[in-house]
Amino acid sequence: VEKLDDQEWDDALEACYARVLRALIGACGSRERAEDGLQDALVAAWKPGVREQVQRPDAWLYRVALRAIRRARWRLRFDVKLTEDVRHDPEPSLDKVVALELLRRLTPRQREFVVARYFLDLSYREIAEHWAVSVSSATSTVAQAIARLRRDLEKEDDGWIRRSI
Amino acid sequence: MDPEKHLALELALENRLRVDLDALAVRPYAYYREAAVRRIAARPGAPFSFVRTGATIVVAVVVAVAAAFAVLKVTGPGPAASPTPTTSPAPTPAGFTLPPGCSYVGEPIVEQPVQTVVTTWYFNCGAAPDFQAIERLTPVFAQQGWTLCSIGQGRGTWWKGTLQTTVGQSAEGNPVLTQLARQSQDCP
Repeated sequence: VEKLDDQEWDDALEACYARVLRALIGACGSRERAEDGLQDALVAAWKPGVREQVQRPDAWLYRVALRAIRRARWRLRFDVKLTEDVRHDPEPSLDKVVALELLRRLTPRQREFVVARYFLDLSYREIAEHWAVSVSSATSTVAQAIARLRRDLEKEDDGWIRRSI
Repeated sequence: MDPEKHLALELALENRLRVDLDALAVRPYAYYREAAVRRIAARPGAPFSFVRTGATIVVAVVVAVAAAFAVLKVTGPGPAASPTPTTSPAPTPAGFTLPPGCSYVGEPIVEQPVQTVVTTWYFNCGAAPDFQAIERLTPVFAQQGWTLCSIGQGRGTWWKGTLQTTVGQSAEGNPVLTQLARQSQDCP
């Protein structure tokens, strides 16, 4: 992999951060946790030796951020939240976002893979490499997710999912 | 599942994800970048740097003692050497004084994780972990002329002049107070 200087690396991260953040919101269902995970991933991205190993910054950020989000889950229980960050803009509610409602029906792993496959456009091979699973495992996880949505759709014939997608 | 239906559902799902997720507003990249830089600079605890600093001090002391013994053994005691000026971290943060009942714990730690020098003090106000540290210090910062930048996620940040100070509280150990040059005009 060609070594990027600081500016090129920063540009590469800037080019994909928004897409990664949206993917993270899809995968974890929370803007706050997604932003926290993205910041952790950006911190990790600036560690020495990282950029040389990264083929796709978006896939790498997504994977590292998801790990950080999972690690932070237990920690959040102990954090004392005093007030919201005063600089934060009012955030729109995610409750009404149909895609998120669909994704909530899936397991966390299924959500991660579905978003990686259909939103970030990662191939099954790329998913397999980043999550250290076999290609067949990645394929079957996504297939199970689709099947689950299909079952829900058939169960709710003319129902919510059919109207949604 | 019927392959055709499978594909149709895949396409529909893909389309729905693109439409909905792409519509979500995100903050500018600079916001996340600055937050990441601050997080590197003000990482509470910084256990490894603490260990590294500690190890450096121990090695330096051992080498100095060994050198002193070697000099004394070879030349015997001589005239007292003139004091060498040394740079050491400020014993307390600039422009901020802890309220009564609170005190600093141990020596401050100086790091330069990015381009800015960061100094970290551990302090104690009678409890460790201290989940009230930020709440307790918020009025103290205001009284001493500091402006609040942000509070949340176990961290509070204030600025005054060219300095910014962050207080971090966590579920482990004493809270920390970190001071560095102000990173941006709108505060971090």
